[in-house]
Amino acid sequence: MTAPLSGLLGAEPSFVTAGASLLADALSAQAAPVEQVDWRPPAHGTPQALARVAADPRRESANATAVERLLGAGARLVDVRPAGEALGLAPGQFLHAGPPITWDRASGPLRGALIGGVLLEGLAGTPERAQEVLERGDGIELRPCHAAGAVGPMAGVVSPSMWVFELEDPVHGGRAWCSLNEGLGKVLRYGAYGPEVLDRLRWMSAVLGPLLGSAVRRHGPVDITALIAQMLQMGDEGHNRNRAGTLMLLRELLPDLLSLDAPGSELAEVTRFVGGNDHFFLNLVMPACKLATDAARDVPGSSLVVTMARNGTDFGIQTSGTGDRWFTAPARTAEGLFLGDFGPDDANPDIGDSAITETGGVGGFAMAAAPAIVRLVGGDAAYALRTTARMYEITLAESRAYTVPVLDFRGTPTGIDVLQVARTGILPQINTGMAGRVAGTGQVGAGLVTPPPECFAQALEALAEAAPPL
Amino acid sequence: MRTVAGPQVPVAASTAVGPLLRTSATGSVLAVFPAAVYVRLASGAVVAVVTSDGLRLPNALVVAAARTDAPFARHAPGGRAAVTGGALVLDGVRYRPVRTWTPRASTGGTLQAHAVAALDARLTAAPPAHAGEVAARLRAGAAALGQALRTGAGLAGAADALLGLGPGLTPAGDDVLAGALVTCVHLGTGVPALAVRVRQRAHATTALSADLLQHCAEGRTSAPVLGVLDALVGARPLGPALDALLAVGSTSGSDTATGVLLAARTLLDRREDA
Amino acid sequence: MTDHVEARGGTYLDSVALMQVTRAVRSTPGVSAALVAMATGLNLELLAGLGLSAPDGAGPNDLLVGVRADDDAALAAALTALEAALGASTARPSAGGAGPEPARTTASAAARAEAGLALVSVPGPYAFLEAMDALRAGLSVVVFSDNVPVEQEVRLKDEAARRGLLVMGPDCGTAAVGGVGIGFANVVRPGRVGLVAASGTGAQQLMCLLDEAGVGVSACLGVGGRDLSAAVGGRSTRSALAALDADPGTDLVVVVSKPPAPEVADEVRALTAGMATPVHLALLGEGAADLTGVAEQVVRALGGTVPEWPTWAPDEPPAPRGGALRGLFSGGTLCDEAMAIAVAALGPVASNIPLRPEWALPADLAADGHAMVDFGDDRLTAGRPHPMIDPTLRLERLAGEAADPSVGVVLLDVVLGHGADPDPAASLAPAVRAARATAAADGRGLAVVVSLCGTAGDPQGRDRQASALRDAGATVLLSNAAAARLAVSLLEAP
Repeated sequence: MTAPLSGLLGAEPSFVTAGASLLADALSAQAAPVEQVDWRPPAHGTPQALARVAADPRRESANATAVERLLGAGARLVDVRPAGEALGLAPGQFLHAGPPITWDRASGPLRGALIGGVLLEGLAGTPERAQEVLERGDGIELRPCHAAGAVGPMAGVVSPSMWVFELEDPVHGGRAWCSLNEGLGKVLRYGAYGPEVLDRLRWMSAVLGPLLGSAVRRHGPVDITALIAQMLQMGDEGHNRNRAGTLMLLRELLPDLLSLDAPGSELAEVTRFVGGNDHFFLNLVMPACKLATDAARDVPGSSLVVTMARNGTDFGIQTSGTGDRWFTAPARTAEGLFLGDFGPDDANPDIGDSAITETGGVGGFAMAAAPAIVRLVGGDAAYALRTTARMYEITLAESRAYTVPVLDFRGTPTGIDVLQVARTGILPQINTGMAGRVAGTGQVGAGLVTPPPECFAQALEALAEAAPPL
Repeated sequence: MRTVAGPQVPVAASTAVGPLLRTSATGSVLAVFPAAVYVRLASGAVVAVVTSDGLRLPNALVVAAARTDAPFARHAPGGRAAVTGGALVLDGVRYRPVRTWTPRASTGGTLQAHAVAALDARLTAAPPAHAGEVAARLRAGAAALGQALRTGAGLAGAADALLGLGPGLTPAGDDVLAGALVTCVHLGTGVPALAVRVRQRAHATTALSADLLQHCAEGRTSAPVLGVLDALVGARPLGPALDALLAVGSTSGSDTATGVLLAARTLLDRREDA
Repeated sequence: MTDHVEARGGTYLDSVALMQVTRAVRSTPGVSAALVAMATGLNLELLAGLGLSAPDGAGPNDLLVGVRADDDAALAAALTALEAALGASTARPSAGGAGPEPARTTASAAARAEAGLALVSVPGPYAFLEAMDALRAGLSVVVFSDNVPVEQEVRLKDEAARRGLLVMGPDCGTAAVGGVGIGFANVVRPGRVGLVAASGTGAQQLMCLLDEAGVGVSACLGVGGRDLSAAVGGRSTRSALAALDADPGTDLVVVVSKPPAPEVADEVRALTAGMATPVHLALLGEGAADLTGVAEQVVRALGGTVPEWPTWAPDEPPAPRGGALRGLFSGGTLCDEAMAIAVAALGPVASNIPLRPEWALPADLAADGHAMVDFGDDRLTAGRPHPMIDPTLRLERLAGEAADPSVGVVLLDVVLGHGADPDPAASLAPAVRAARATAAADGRGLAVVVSLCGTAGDPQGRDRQASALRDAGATVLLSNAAAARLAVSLLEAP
């Protein structure tokens, strides 16, 4: 029989204190070890809402269940297919990044990408006509990628003729999709829609997609989580830096590619395209994280964040315990370093589904694994370590698969908890590229951004309403 | 966040060193480690200052800091020590007792034969802790000690063959003696003849070891040893308790366990004979 | 073949380090034998066994080094390896360095430290969050915070019961576990009496009296001022009693509280009747035994002798007189105890915490006749420190009483110990002196009686405080009940 109160009365005294440091000082003066909490009043949420969520009897096991599913999910690349087929997209239907949005509220890069999509699908012949079509909205339907089980970087526009990666989670049976990464510069996802953009997209649908699909089917499923785990130990973080991941993917698929019955010139184009695009693997990290977070959805009483996404105007989050509800607020603009002559005024507000990487415990949450990226975004190595360390305060668990060498192979902080964000005021740290606010400008810089806190305040209220009263 | 030492550091003092701190004395620092400082006073007594997560020896003053706070960074071997005004002053830092802790001096309950057998099995199966000449002498010395405990004769000779034998802060032979002594005090009626010999021959070994042996003779030892004694009377499982003891030092724990086993077997035999 | 032996003073290595050094030397190419150990007699014999002779004057606290090498070059290499290994093992650890990010919640702090108990003193509306963190981490928790909604208190205590833990509080100002005082706590000797306290200053008074009588405390488990109300039903009291009953270090338990709800009091009595450990109940109120009385019972129950409770009386002890009794208290329970005694002898006593509703003081606390004020009451501590820390309000009131010609006796408590004013006499003694002078200038004698709740071990130095107050003209007593009785006796009509 264990001693009552877990042996409190017989044990050597040692304390954790939260509040007046005088109290802690009086304990130290009695030679008792004290661990002080750096406490400050909760940044968001009313005391009643906070207490109600904390008191929810389902909370502990709900979060444990949800985060275990997140951590335990697998992700394998099984195919590459046209979106019309894989996602059932009909002509006139377009997916986009972030929470639901209408044309009139959309920012420059998203509008540009939609114009490009309309042109690509042949629904209009000129950009001006395309714009009219989109303004009128006849025969046009816009939905978030997330609603279709997909994710898309930056503007994230997916149309029926674009090919998408198809991934499956062998543990929980889910599927997720993501477009193929076009590369840098003037590309659709940054809102460019000129002839070279469309030509490239057509080539990707005619050559890249089909050949990759055949290679993947020939190879068999490619374990993406294993590649992510390795890339983190090679200086990548999975959001802003994906070079090692891209090369490992290429290494994986090259033999199968080369043994396809296709013209050598096409194979050369494909390998040059993939190998020359340092961000190619981002479009696999994202759906892998989507699979993990989707597995954690819909656990009543869980305050785990399962989506963080931006559409260039709004930032939206979803939690496991609040179903499909989006909690949105105006997206912030990243702070960091600018390319060339660009400056803060050139940057569009935060955009893209790529924050799914942070939601899944990589990207900004693995910054300590990629000190190089910190310099790109204007910080230093110590900053990277401190930021990752802070993220442990707002997450439910540490990744088992994704570990960071410089932290003694500690798992990345995984599973953002709305309650902890509200209490500590620490916002999830996202590493991101910045799009130009004028459609088609392309990338203007890269930096650090956080979600607007209102998203978490709203989510907290919703969780409190769903929790039993005290 | 934990606060690190300033010029005045509150400590929890072992009641076993309380009387020492009420005297006036000088001394010097013997050794400094991340989790402990050992101080030898002019009288030959040794006092330890240890961190809250360090090994709590019966002669220890315990500070609140943990070893990662590096509370003893300003001390060095040979540093000046003094006992004055009820406190221990080292290199100008005043370690002031603000409360006490009492080393447990007895274990209730009856020795369990199956627990002793389990201890025997684990120690026999363990890889040898020592090699060469030391190992041979240790074996012989332990055997002689076992015999002497059984018959009551030859205790002095057995002690002499073990005291100071082997490398280390607490030589291996001393650890065997310590384990045997404290077991006899806790679970038997003590071995006065052995305790006396060990005290007489204190100069044959390091000051720290001699001091700790003194405490053992009076039944005072550290928690990992107490854990094994508790296990031998069936108050807790032996496995984890023995793991904790074997983790002490590099061979200190296993040598002490050898001594505990020797004494425990003798006590069992005596009970069976009775 | 070349040999090297030496003995070094001041080099005392732990066994792991010694192993590493020995290994470093032995594995140097060309070394055929090496011994690195403390130079005890037996180790010197081992050295001899290697064919090496001992250095002069080597003693057991010296490090002995013996090396046999094939040639000078090998020996030099071995000694270099020795120095390198010694240097590495005696390198001092760097203090601190870039520490980890501080924990921002109790959950995070509890995950890092091997703690036994959490202390929460954040503002009341948020205390629930931190306390829940503690319980979920397997820690019992002391909640100092007040203004915690009662439904949250119940939820916490139910959670604690599920996990076999204890919530001490909310509004728990005093506790003691493992010999360490928590919050407002006196330095008392360790012993075998356990307290379950719904009153902080009540527990402090009891512990100080017991300490004076040579009786020590095993633990003081505060349960919060509202635990024995109907809404909370004594949840923590139940857990605390069970824990002390099972504690081999506790031989006797005392429950201290202001009068609880009658049905809860009955439950507590039923509970304690079923315990193996004897229990004394100090459920105060009109007609009940006072804390000094309970302390005396406990001392006798343990076979001890009740001492003369210390009094520090001025050379000219005050004489009986007419007028009103005014009590200025920092401890609510001490005020209650004094009021119960005063009411029995003098009739109605007005207060901001009256024994009967009809005796309530007006909001401005203006008194006419006998009155006692608890300066620690929530209404008087909103936005200011507690009177046990900050004497300002009480001192103002004292000056006011001195100027009131109808006042004959002023009764004050002074509570020492951890957390309290480091030198209360520094401000109170001059104020007492000034108050008596004010009255004297007006041709009146003002008697000041102080109940000093403290022990010799308290940081303020009880005897020093008592002398200073006595020298200012106050009569100082350890027992609050005795102080109240003295104050009352000074007013009884001769």
